[in-house]
Amino acid sequence: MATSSFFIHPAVAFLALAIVLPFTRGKEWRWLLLIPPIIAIFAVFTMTDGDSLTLRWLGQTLQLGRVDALSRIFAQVFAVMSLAGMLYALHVQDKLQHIMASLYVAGGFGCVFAGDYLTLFVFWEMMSIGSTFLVFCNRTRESTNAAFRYFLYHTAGGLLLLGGMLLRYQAVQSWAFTAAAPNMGEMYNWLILTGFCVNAAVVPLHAWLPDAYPRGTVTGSVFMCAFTTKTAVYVLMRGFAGWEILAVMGTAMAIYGVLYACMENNARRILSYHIVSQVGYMVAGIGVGTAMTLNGASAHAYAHILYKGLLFMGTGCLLYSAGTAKLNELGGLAARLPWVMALYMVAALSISGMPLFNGFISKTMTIAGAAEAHHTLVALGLEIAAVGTFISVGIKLPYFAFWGGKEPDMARELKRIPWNMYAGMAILAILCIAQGIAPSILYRYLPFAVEDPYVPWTVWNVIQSGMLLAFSGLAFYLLRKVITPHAGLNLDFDYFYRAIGCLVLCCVCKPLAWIDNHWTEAYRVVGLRGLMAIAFGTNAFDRKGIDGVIDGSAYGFMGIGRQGALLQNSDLQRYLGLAVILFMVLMGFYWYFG
Amino acid sequence: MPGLDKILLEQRNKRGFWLKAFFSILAVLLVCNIVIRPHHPHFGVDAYPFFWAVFGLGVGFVMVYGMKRIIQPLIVRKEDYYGDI
Repeated sequence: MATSSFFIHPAVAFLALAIVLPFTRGKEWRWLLLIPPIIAIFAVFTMTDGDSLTLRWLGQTLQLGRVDALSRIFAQVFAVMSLAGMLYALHVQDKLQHIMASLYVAGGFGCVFAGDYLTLFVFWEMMSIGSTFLVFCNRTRESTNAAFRYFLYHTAGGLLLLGGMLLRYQAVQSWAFTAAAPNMGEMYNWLILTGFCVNAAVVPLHAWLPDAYPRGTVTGSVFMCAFTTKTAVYVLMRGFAGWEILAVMGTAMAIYGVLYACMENNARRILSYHIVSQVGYMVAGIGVGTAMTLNGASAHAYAHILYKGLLFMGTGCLLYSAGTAKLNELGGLAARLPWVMALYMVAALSISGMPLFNGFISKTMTIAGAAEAHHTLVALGLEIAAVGTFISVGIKLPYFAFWGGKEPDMARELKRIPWNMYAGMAILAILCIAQGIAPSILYRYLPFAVEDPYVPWTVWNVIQSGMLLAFSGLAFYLLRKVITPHAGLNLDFDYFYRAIGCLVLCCVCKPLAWIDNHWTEAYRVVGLRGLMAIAFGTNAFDRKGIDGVIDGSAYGFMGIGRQGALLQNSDLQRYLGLAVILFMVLMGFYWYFG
Repeated sequence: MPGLDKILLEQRNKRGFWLKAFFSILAVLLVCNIVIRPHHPHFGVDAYPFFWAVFGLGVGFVMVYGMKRIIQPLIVRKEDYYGDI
């Protein structure tokens, strides 16, 4: 039985949408897509800390709802993003995409409010299924293969989490999802951490992300870029804050992502590598584990969801309209898609940490927090990543997509972009700018109390960010010929995943092939001869036994028939004689036995 | 009032102006940095003027040149290397 204070679980609204959509008819069903996000926004702004929702099931008490400052800030940005994402996808006729997006978003909310590992696991897997279909729904050979790889990889990650959960339950006799003491070396903690790190795309477990996200549907990738990695950031913050290894891995992610983004050609793959990089900031902040860096990670997750959603929407518009997201095939489109370019640039400047945009108020908090906590190398690594971010997403991508040193491309046939796509982008762009100008819009929801609140808008911060970005821009200007993107595939860690896949396949296929070969030989030698002997015996039985009985009966009936025919010769005297003899025989029997 | 597309087409022909504006911004930032310094430098060396300018330019240069000219030739393959497309 469920118990609750006043708490509306946003996941319920999205699950209801997923159930109802297949039964809707006509064209007006699409407006239903906006109802769950509106309910979710209402729910997250009306819930209060301490609200809970528990369910007693199979002898276990599941905590479906746990409301505190940390779950609220993530739920809030999920709700806002779901509204923008659903609005952006409003024109899509394929109901399966909407159903799976709803399932996916419901999974995200379920994870954020989960108070125990069992609930978390169920919603974690729900996300995995939903997102797999968002890749699959592109319905190309490329996306089908990518979806299959994505599902395999996330299933493996889910199994690590499940294994850790079970071992943890055995050890502590509780499913409660609570913080693990920093660097507690139990096997179950490491398994759970690794399971979380798979979804957080921690290097070297990250390669599923740039493999799958560029192959998702235009609207599906907008959802995916917001929920999977940020849910993982949330659970890492909830469970593993202050784990030193995360500070190291996060910094590595931040740099690794921008290095690959420098080389990439596909706009959506560039953005995918930048998810790895930006999530690196959050993971590093979690690893450092002070109130300021945890707040920085939360703020950056919030800001990142808004601007990354907007970036994927912008490149999604390019893909939708021009039919490609490859930079070497684009260029000269600024005047053809001016508002797509303008809205994209809001997101590009946000992710770069430009003053007036929300990346400036979130990224700098994490870096300053790391430096103040004497994690100087972490802070330095994040500054290096900031340079790469501006060069590849802030300049390279828009330059080669919209200009590229080419004449305005007035001849290219462009598909008209529906109003709802612009509307979804506008919501996120307004929020990116509003938070950048007035940080309190975001800061008031930060989950951890600090003695000296961080102030981003100082003269030095503006000068420092300005110099870093402007001179990074100068590096791009000087090296614009070098950085020109070309078609090609850059090998990443998925090379090893595929090698492991091939190895597993070999380990299964080779023994099976060996068994099959030997079985065929054994069958040929023993089975075939046995079968021939049985066939011979059956043949003999058929001829001698069956045929003998049937033929003998036939011959017997034929003989009787022939004798009967001889008796029927129209000789009346013989008939009478035989009748008398028969009568006497019958009377004899009667007399004798009667 | 011209649309955004018209404005973009017009600005395309003013490349010189935008370049001058860009280099002016760089100069202004450098001048500002002589006067304005951090109260609590994170790395020590960032207390010196022009540190972040050199950092941005240097890291950008090494990153772009290193990845595109040194690393990418080693790891780049044909787009259909895995046979997925």
